[in-house]
Amino acid sequence: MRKPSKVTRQRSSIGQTDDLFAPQLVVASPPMMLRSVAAKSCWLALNFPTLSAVSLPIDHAQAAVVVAAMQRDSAVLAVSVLAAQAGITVGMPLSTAELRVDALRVVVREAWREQQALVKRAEQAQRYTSWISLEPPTAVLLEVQGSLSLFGGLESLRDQLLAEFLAQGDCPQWAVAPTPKAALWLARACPSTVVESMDALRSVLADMPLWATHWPEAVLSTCQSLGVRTLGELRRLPRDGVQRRLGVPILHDLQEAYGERPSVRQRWVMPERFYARVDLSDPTSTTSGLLPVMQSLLQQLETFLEMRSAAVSSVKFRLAHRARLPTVLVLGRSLPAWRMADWVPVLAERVANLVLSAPVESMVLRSSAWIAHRPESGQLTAHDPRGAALAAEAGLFLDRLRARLGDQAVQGLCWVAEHRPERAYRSVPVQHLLSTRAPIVSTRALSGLTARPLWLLRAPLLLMQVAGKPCYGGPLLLCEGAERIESGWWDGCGIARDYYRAHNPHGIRLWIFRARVSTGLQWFLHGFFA
Amino acid sequence: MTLPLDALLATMRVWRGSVDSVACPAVSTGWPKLDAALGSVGWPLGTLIELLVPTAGAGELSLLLPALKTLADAGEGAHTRWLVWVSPPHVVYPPALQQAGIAAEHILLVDAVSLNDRLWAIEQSLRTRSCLAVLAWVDTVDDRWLRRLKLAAADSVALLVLCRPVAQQVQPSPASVRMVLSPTMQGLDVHVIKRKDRGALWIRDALLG
Repeated sequence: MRKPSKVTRQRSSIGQTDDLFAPQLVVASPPMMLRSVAAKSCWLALNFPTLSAVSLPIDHAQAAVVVAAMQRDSAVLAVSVLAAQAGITVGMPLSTAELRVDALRVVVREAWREQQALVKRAEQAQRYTSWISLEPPTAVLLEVQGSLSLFGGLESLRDQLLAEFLAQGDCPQWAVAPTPKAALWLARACPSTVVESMDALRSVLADMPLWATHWPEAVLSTCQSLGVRTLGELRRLPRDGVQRRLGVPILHDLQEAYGERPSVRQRWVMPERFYARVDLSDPTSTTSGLLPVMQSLLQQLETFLEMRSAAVSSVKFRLAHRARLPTVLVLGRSLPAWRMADWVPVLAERVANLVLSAPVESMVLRSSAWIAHRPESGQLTAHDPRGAALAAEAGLFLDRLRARLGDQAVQGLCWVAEHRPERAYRSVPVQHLLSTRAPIVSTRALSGLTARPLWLLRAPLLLMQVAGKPCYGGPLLLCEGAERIESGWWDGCGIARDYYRAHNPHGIRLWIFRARVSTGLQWFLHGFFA
Repeated sequence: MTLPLDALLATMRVWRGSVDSVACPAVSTGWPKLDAALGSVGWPLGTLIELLVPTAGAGELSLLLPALKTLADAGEGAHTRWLVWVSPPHVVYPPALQQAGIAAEHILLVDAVSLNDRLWAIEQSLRTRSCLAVLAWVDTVDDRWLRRLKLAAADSVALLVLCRPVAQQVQPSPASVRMVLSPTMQGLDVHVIKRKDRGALWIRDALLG
């Protein structure tokens, strides 16, 4: 009986605050979604404190530290194993750290790497819930209420999730709470805590140190001057006083954490395209050096696509050199592919013929927009397993040809209903050779046609004339004709020709025509009845 | 009932003394005189055939058309359906193929400039099961490459035809069938200079019944 009354009370408080602080909510960007804490929710916060170090190519066998900037007074953000053994700790000024180890390698933190690493972890967490919110720079928040029964309860879900991260060397701090903010703060200040009820949350938050909130330094020092060290103490202060001294956002944070105000969080949506970058520690331009790196990127792509049951039809490698324009390598597949193995033959063909102007320093892999794709189920249910295998083989065959010879070098042909001989056919791009069948030609359109030559010259060839007779390896003997083709006056490429079949003295059968040019009538060779 | 042994013999992997009794995979040329000259079966499949032509357009396509149509009809609606044209000298004209009963969707054009790329493309085409026939235009080819192509062909059931200039006649070749085409005012004379187990043969007006 207590719960419904609590819900109504929260709703009424939302009504009050909405009027007062409406602009605050509007400031949030449009895709934000409201998730009212009135609905029972269960937030799991994952904080990756070592993300800045993990995302950098730090060699733990050497003494290395990560700093925010190359300044003597900047604090150490992360340390390698060897540096930690030498007594360097997180938060120590760089100048002090340099005194402890002689040859200290100092790496400057790179925001894009951390962002990429965080997104990668969000992608991994996607297996457990569809409602994910990022909390840069190091945390990911998951709403897991809806997934609990699927994974057999909170403990089982948490164990599976953590096992996955531990296996790859991450040691996330985690906490579970009914509100996202509380879960995040708990993960920072007292990790491995599970709070399921609002009452328990209030008592846990009461002892929470203020630093866990990551509020601005000015706010924290004001609190300190007021003698406030924990959230509980802050809550005991008059609400309007808190709002006046610390600002509205702080009050909102506090209310969100206690579930007295709906949390506005941006839902993280999976990117439509794959993007991954890797820096080569040892710049190289050899095939043997590049291929493994490219394959590892394609492996990441495979994981990315598998999670989405998706496939892509082309990928783009961008190989960056020092002080040179990057080399771009586009690989296309006729059939959408998702496995690394699908790309490797095509890739090998391209890389073997690649001429690089300089060693490659870093590499970026991007994919085209993915399309939904359901992989073939096993042979038990597939309708035509042999056909599918053959189609895949044909696709690979075409792609290999394209990769080595170029897109233009491989094509199909189709017939076009058109009177002008040079326009009666069209090339079919290789992408369409597998996906769609060429349109079936109505035989009626062909029935009125006189015999056409099997070889058509790409451009008509002007023939010499001897005594008014056309010559090609000797004077030509006309044997059939004339067929007048007069067409195309409407598009500026009009023709008016009389076509004949002819023989030359060597027995070669030709398709020739006579046309009016500026100098009078001329004969042209247009094809061979080979 | 088909015995595994039959399948083995049909693929010609086992040599037998009486070669004639073995059904070698082949497709009729569509020309009675030519079929008779080629062991009454027609173009052998899965091996190398060489046509030596004085000039492009000497009748090499008319000679091949009936066989290509037979192959294309068999591949209709199937996944194996391409007639691969490697670097043809002119445009393969779809209306003419349609008139001969070959749908344009069977055409796969591969344009390779360098000789090595052409040979590579031929080899790739033979390796996939998607191709019914491979027609290629090459000039001087190393004997080792020809052997390599013949080997690649042996693993497939495709029709492999190399069109080469008649000047290459003097070069030795591992091809199973070699023919020199000589167009005449009446039609086409074919000089079979090499064929399986038999001597050379001159066929006058090969395309006449």
